[in-house]
Parts: sequence; C-alpha cells; structure tokens
Amino acid sequence: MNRWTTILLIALFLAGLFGAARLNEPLREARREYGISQADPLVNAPPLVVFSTVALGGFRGIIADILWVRSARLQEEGRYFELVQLADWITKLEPRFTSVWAYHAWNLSYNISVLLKRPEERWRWVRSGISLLRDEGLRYNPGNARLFYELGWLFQHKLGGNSDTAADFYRRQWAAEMAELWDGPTPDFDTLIKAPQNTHALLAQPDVAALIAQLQSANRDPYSPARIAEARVAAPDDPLRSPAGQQLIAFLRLRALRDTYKLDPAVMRELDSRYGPLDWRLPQAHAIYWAHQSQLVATHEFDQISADRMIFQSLGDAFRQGSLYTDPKRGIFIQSPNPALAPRVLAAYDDTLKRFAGTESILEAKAHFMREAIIVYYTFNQLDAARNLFQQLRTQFPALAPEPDFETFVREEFLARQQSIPPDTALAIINGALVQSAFWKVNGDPARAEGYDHLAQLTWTAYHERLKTQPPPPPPPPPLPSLDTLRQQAAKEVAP
Amino acid sequence: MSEEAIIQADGLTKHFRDFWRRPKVAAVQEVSFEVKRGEVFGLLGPNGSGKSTTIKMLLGLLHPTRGTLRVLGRDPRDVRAKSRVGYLPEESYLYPYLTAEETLEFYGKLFDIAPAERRTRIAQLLEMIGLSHARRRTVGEFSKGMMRRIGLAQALINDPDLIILDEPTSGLDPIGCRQMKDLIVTLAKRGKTILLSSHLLADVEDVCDRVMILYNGKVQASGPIQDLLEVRTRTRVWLPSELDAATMRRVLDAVRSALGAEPELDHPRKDLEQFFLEVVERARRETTEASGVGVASAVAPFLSATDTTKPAP
Amino acid sequence: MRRILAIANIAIHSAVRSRMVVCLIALLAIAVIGLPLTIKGDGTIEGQLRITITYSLGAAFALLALASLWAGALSIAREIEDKQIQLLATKPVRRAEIWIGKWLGLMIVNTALLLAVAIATGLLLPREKLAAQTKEGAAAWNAVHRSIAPLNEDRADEARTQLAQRRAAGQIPENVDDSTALRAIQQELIVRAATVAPGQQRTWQIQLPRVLQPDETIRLRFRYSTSAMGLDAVRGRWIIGTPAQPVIWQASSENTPEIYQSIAVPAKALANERDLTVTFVNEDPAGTTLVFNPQDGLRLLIPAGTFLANYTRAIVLLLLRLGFLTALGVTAGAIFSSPVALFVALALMFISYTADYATLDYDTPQSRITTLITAPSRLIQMALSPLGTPPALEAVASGLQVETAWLLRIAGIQFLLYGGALAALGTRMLNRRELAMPAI
Repeated sequence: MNRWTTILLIALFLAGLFGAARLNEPLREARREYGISQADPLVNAPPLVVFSTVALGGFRGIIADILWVRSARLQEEGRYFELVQLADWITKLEPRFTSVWAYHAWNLSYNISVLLKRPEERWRWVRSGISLLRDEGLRYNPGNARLFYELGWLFQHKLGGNSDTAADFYRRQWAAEMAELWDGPTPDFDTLIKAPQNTHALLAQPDVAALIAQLQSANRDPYSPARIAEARVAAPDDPLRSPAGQQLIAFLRLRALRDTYKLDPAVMRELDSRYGPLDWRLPQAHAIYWAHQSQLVATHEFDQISADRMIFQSLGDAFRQGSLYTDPKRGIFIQSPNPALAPRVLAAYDDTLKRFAGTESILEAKAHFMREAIIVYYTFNQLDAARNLFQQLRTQFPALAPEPDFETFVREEFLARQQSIPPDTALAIINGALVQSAFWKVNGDPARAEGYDHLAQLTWTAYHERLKTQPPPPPPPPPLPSLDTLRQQAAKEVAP
Repeated sequence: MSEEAIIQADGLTKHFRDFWRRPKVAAVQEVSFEVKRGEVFGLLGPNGSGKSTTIKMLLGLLHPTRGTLRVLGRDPRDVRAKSRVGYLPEESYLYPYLTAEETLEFYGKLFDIAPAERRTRIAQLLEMIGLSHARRRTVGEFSKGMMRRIGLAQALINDPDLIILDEPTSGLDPIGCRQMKDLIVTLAKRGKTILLSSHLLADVEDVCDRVMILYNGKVQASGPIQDLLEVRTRTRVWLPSELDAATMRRVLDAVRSALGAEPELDHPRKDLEQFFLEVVERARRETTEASGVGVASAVAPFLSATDTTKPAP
Repeated sequence: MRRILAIANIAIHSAVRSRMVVCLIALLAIAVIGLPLTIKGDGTIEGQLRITITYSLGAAFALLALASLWAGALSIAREIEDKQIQLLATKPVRRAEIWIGKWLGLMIVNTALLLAVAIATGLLLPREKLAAQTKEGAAAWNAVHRSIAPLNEDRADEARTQLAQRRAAGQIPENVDDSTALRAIQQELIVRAATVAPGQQRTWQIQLPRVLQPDETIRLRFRYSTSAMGLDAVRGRWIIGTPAQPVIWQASSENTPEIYQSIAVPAKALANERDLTVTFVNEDPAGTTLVFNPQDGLRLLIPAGTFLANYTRAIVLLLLRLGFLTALGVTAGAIFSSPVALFVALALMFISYTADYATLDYDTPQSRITTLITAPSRLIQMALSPLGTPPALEAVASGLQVETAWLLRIAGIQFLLYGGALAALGTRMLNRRELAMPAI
C-alpha cells in the first residue's frame, strides 16, 4: 500500500466519522421526539442508581433479568413483600424500564395492600405505590405517558373505585391530606400561584422575615408543615393569622403541593376551569390531573385514547360521586352526585370524539353516560334538565335511544330496574337516601335534600308497584287422604 | 560401580501430533545413548534439533512415542526416580511472587526434606550461588542471571544423583558462565552424574566427558570429547619459550627433513574468556567495591561426595 | 501431606498475588455491607433481616462460586501455560497431590472468605433493633423450626380400582393405554384430595420425628388458593388430634389465600404423641372452595434449635457446595487450556444450577427411536438431579431448619461422590497429559 492510498483511506475514515457524528444529533433528536430514547443522561440520580447504572455496565441488564425471573417465582409463591425489594432493585438497576415501575406500583397498591387487615396498613401500601410512581418512577422517566397514566389509574380505580373494601378509608385519608393544602373543595389557586416560590422570595418581604425570625427565636421551625395545621386553629391574634403569617402559610402550602404532591397550581386551575368545578379533595380530580399530564406527552394513539378515556371516566365518576361533605371531627365523609358536571363530561367526550372521530366505543360510552345522567337528573328532581338531555340523546344517538319519549325512557331505564331490586336492597337504598336527605336539610342544602327524598320516594313506589304486578302466591297443596284409606289401598294392591 | 548406567535410552522416538492425532513433527528419531555414573554428558545441537524434547522425555514431561527410556533404573515418570533428579530448566519456571528463600523452601518441601535439614540446605545453597543478601526479595524482581542461580539452587536442593541442565549458561555473563562450569566440574568430581544441553560449543568442550550431537532429531555423532575433537593427522609441538632465530632455524630444518613438508608456526593465544576473566579479576582487586551480585563461594557442603551408597527413597 | 500443603500454599499465594482475592474481597464487601444499605424491605425489621440474609449472603455466595470456578479452572491451566508445572512435575510429586493441593489451597481461601462474609453478615444483622422492638419478635426470629411434611398418601390402589371400574364402564377410550390412564387418574386423585369444598374437610396424617415437650409451641404452616376472585380471607377451622382422639386442639382461622400463613399451636396437649392428624374444615360463609397446594400446602413446624446453629448449618452447606464447584474448576483446568477450561467450568456450573429445572417427562409412546433420543437426556437428567442447590439461605431467612437431608445430599453426593469423581478424573487427565507440549 503506497502512501497516497494510506492518506486516501485515512481521509475516507475521517469523512465517515464526521458524517456519522453529524447524523448523531438529529438521530437523538428524533429518538427524543418519538419517545424511544434511553440515551438521555440520568439527571440528579442518587448515588446508588449512578453506581449501578455506570459501574455494572452491561451486567446490570443480566442482574435485572435474573431478579425479574425470580420475581415471577415470588409472585407465584405469594411472597409479595420480598417482591417489593426485588422490584426496588430492578428499578435501581434499570430506571428506564417503565414496566417495572408500573408493575412495582401495582404490586404495592393492589397485591400487598389487600393482604393486610387494618385499613391504615393497607393505606400505607397504597400510598407507597402512588409515591413510587410520582416521586421516583417519573423522576427517572420524566414525561412518560405510561407512568402518568398508571399514577392516574391508582387515583381513579384504587382510591376512587370500590374494588377494595378499604377504599372509603383511602378517600378519607387522601381528603384529609389535601385539607392541609387548601380549605374547602377547591384550592385558592390565585393565592397558591402568587405565593413566594422559594425561601429567598419569602424572606424578601420584611414582615414575613420578621415573623420567621420571631418563630425561630421561639424555637418553632417556621418551615415545618405543622404550621399549616396550627394556623387553622390559631387564635385570631396569633402571628400566623397576620398577613405575614398568611404569606408564610401560602408558601408552605405551595411547597407541599409542588414538592410533595408534584402538583402545579397553574395546571390545576386550568383543569378546574375546563372540567370543573372539581372537588380536589377527591381522587377523581387527581386522576384527571395525571391523565391530563399523560395526554400532553402521549405520542402513541393508544396512550392518547387511554388518557382521554381516563379523563371522561373520572369526570363521569365526579358527576356521580364528586360532591363531598366532610367533617373529620364527627367522622362524616359523604360523597354525592354533582349534577352540574354533566355538561363538562359531555364536552370531554366531544373533545375526544373530535380527535378520534367515529370511535365506536367512545360513542357508546357517551350515550351510556347520557342515559345515566338523565336518571340522575330525574332522581334529583331536575326534570327540565333531564328532559333536555333526553332530547339531546334522541337526536345524537337515535339508534341507542329507542325509547319514544321521556316517560317511557324513565320507566324502562329506572323504574324497571328498581323493580328488580331485592327487598333488603330496596330498603337499604331508601334508608340511605332518607338519611342523606335529612342530613342535607340540616346542613343547608335543601335542593340536595329534596333530591334524596325524591329518590327514596321513587324506590318505595317502584317496590310496591312490583308487589302489585307480582303473580299471586300458589294455592296451598291439598290435604292428603286419611291414613286408613291409604292403608286399605295398599292392602288391595298386594292381595287383590 | 562407576560403570552403572544412570540413563539408558534405546531407540527413543518422539512424534508430535496435531489435533486430529496425525503425526506432524518427528522431533526425536531413534536416539540411543547411555550416561554412566559420574559422567558429564553433553547434548549438542542447533535450535530445534531435539535436545529439549529429549530432556523433557528424560524428565517425564513428554512421553516417548517409541523406544525405552530408564532413568536411575526406573521409568522417568516414577516419583522414586524423580526424587533423585535435579533439573535446571532453560528458562525460569519459578513463581514470581515467592522470595528466593520461599522458592527453595517450596521445592525442599516437595522432596519431603525435614525442616531443620531444609533450612541448612537453603542457607548453604544461597551462600553458594551468592544470593544470601537477596533471599527475602521476590523472584519476580530478579535479573535473568539471578533467576538462573535460583534455578540452579532448586535443582540441587535434594542433593540429586542426576542433574539435568538445559542450556546451563544461557543468560549468564562470562563470570557466571565460568562459575557454572566450575561448579559442574566440582559436582562431577563429587560423583554426580550430569547431563547438559547446549548450543554453545565452548561450554560443552570445557566440561563434558562425552557428547552427543543431534541434528533434525537424529544422532549425528557421539563419543568422548577427546576422541571426537582430536585431529590425528596433525601434531602440535609446544615449546616453552621464545627461541632465538638460529635455534629456530635448526629446529625447522630438522622437522622439514624428517617430514618432507613445511611446518606452520604461530604463538599460542589465550582464549577470550580467559582474557576477560583476568581483566575483570584485576579490576575487582583495584576497586574495593563489590558488584551487585555477590561472588559465589565454594560448593554447598551438603552436596555429598559419597552418594553411591545412598538408597533410593 | 507436606507436599500437598506446599502446593496448597502456592495456590493460596497465587490467588492472593493475582489480585483476584483483592477484587473478590471488594465485591464481597459490597455484597455484605453495601447491599443491605439498599434494602428497603417491607418496613418491618423481620423482613429486612430476611432479605439481608437471602440476598447479601446469596450474592456473596454467587460471587464466591464464580470466583472458585474461575480460580479453579485457571490454577492448573495457567500453571501449564506459564510452564511452572514443568518444574513442579519433575519433583517427586504425584499428580493427585497436585490436584488435591490446588483444590485445598483454593478451599482454604474460600473458607476464610465465606466465614468472614458469614460473620460480617451475622454481625451486621440489626438483631438488637429487633430485640428492642418486641420481645416476641426477637424470640420468633431466634426460633428455628423443622418442617414436617404430611405422610404420603398411597393412592396407587385406589387408582387401580378406579381404572378397572372406569374401563368396565367404558369411560376410558380404547386407544388410551393403561399406564397413561392410571397416571391421569392418580393426578385427578391428588387434585381431589387437595380440594376442600365449602362445608367439607380434609385430614392429613403426620408422623413427628420426636415427641413434643409440653412447653413447646408448634406451628401449622399452610397455603391455599380459592375459587373466589381477589384475595379475601377465608374462614375455616383447624383441628389437631391423634388417630385415637381426633380433636385435641382446635381453632378457627381467617386467612388470606395465596400466601404462606402460620398458626401457633401450644404443644401441651399434644405432648408424648408421635402420630398426629391435622384437619381443616372449610367454614367459609361465602362458599369458597379451597385448594391446598399439593407440594407444600400443609406443613407442621416443630422447634429445632437456635438461629445460630441453623445459620452454621447453612454456611457448612454452602462451603460444601463451593468444594464441589472448586473441584469442577480444577478438573476442567487439568483437562483443558485456560480459556476453554473456564468456559467449560462456567457452562457446567450453569447447567448444575438449572438442575432443579431439568425434568423430563415425555408422554410419548415408547419406540426404539424415542428411547434412542430420550436415553441421553434421561442420563443427563439423572446425573444432574443431585446437583441442585437446596434453598438453605431462604430456609435460614424464614426460620426453617436447614434440613439434614439437604446437608447429607450435598456432603455425600455433591462433595464426596461428585467431588471425588472429579478429583479422580482430574488426576487421571493430569497423569496422561504431557505437560511440556510445545505449541505446534
């Protein structure tokens, strides 16, 4: 090989290298765009994760595989607690392996929690499933549609649903946590958004700085979340009640909201104005929040539809159960329908239908929701709204609303079903409705009280309607011939 | 007793085979020889002539393809034969992480020498090879010459009857070579049988009683060194001192008339080795400082002179 | 012996000097000190202890196993390649002594490291935290139980009777041969025996290896699946008695399916009995049918010594296992050159680890060809089946006795029989091998 050939080859090599290097950045860009990138460096990972991902190199994949295989065996043997540790290690080894995060969180919130008897113990595990996704999984996989969705699912289904006998307890606990961050159902978004973003901004206000100094000298940590609860019960002359104190409390609340719960008040406000008013103490609002996050980053149609579905399903749940009256001191925690949300739910369906035109299952879901909403209006005695919605149903889904008029619809859809309710269930519904009615009467919501009373009436009437239509009981069986007669018959048969 | 055959090889042949067991190289072919007690026997030949293969068969490290081989009257793979053999390999096969002392300790243990005796022997051997000062240093740090010395010491630790030296002078400086050759002669005088291989002919000439020359795996010549090298057609006359011209002329005339041929005349020359050693010795005497490597002392006392009666273990 | 020790000493030196031991110590330190730091556990100290033992020691053992194999495979192979063996083999040393010396040297290193790991793990266990937490917790941790399986119920007779009946009734198709049908019937009987329908009961016979002391507490350990969805607890009643007096102790229970559950039973009333019957009555109001796992659905746990004794047993078992793996490595090194030896040894180790999974059960009709094909795999399976590793660490971690049968299996079969066979093979190969083969 002569010198010129060598030079030519080196030049070719360098040109190729340069070309490959030029291609690299667009490729990475494209990978990021399509969400298939695992090449982005981990940011702010704890030392253990850095160690395992760097020092173990390619071996971590093998170790993760071995642990993953073992976890299958543990699952089979029902050793869920050990599984927690394995999943923890796997996520440390392969923090970008989203399925493990999802599986891990599911295992904590579903499999393990139900093994325990006491609701507090169960809640601890459900909560650790939420915290795993929110605080760790999403930290290593920021903007991962799947993990946002899984997080939303825990709120929608585990907390919001009733698959778990302790679900009511979870909802109470969650509402109690949220009550620390705002008063009433909806956060004071403006105060939270305007609250000082960090201690630096907080201390820039002279009166707040003075208050903080005062608290510190009294050996009360001004930044402890305990101040929030104190402020609520503090005497009116307590410094925490002063404007400076309120600034501090707003700051503490914002910090907890943002750092602990990973919620952005601006996004919450936007969602509340689009879908609300939502009760943010209830899990449905949080399911919507995380589904919205998933929606923003989802690139695949499947993920997009899933997120949309979670939004309108959760909104539907909020419509059914999204109004909360709670008084922790008296142990009261009552969820009831929020009929005002129906138009929002329908709008959410329409929004999805606009983007995924003609998706059969969503059309059916919308029709189904409308039928349900009509009945809720009807039971709550909002007959105009009910009739109105029925007209919409007829025009939009003629095929799915075969009933010729509103009265027929109510009879078929509600009364017929009411009539098939067994006696004890009917009694339980009537009792429950009357208790609610009495409760709302006392607590200053006469419309709701009336609605529940109406439901009790309807159920009672339906039950008695059925009694009328029931076939008459069968006549008692005829008496038998006397024993003597029978004996004689028998004797004849043997010896005629 | 001195006619006892220490090594008997008859028709010794070694073929190396490839993976498929097809003969590939005939390294040694039909080699027969005997080495008697007390002899210094030289194996001569260029590289690849079969010297090393022969030695490794003698040591039981390779198995002959054909032919018989007895060492000290036994199969070379018999441990009873091995316990009476000392072997200095061509290169260092020592453990680099052991110190000089540990190395000798290790090989001493392999011969099952009792601890007290072992310590005595190690001290004497280290003294003999001039490495007493380096006994705590690991072999890995040694120069090639020092390693050869340790190699020699381990070959002698069992006071062997048969010493096999593979290229004993390779890697040694002229002083070391001389010492090695002196040692070989001394050991031979003490009744040891020595077999050595070399391609440095001068070394062989200096110490060997008998040699065998191998080429291409075959014996090309063998016999007592005197017989092989003597040129019987010519005679050299050594005169004690410088003669004056007249006397010289007379002597030459007498020779000329007796032989009818013209004699050749020259001065005897020292060989370069001897000259070099003299120069070094003079320099050493002038500078009192000793060189890095100590000077070997007399042969280790435990290397017995009367070993013919020693029974095989 | 002096020669073997000298060679062992060299093997130790060589292992230490090759920095392998240093590396290994660093890795072991990570396993023993670092790994527990990453354990989150389930929030309970018992859980943490359990996971520490299983995984810390497990990882340390895996490292040691790999290192033994590695060092074993290289010890002789390297020495041949570096030609040091050419000096060693010219000394009056038997080849067997070389093999044993190398093995012994590596085992001394192994023992030292394993003991260090075991002691360090033992010291690092937060046992005092447990003791501080609850007295019962510490006592429960320290208590080791031996797991007693119920007697095997012989269903062969019943199966044969059923077969005859069903054949007569024409319920079995003609083309199904007797052995296949019999096997299916036996499986059916096993499943039926494991199933407890609502309101029904199931009784197991258990023979204790020793009589119980009145002050002891035994435990019933069980695990069942249910016909219901979800993991709702199932109500039932446990009864323990003897064939003569079926009800001596009873208690109702409400336990979650799918996981191992255990109930404490005071042995007071059961003292001096060897033959027990255990009965479960399904009293679930929801009408759930239960299936007890046929393999380990029910065990009776009786006290068997202390944690320390059990821990020691596990370490001995692991050491014996290392002895086998080292032998495997040394022999591979005696036969092959270093990369090949390493590969062969690692491959054999992985195969031996999968021994537990190596089950062949072909339902193919026996013909000459299938026999020809399956015979070698059956042979391999037979050779491999004793090579599985009993779950000693998991047993220690969950307070179960490391069974004597396991120890005997490892000591007798793996260590002595397989180890001895490997030693013989290694020695023979070394004897036959020409140690000064030039590279041609």
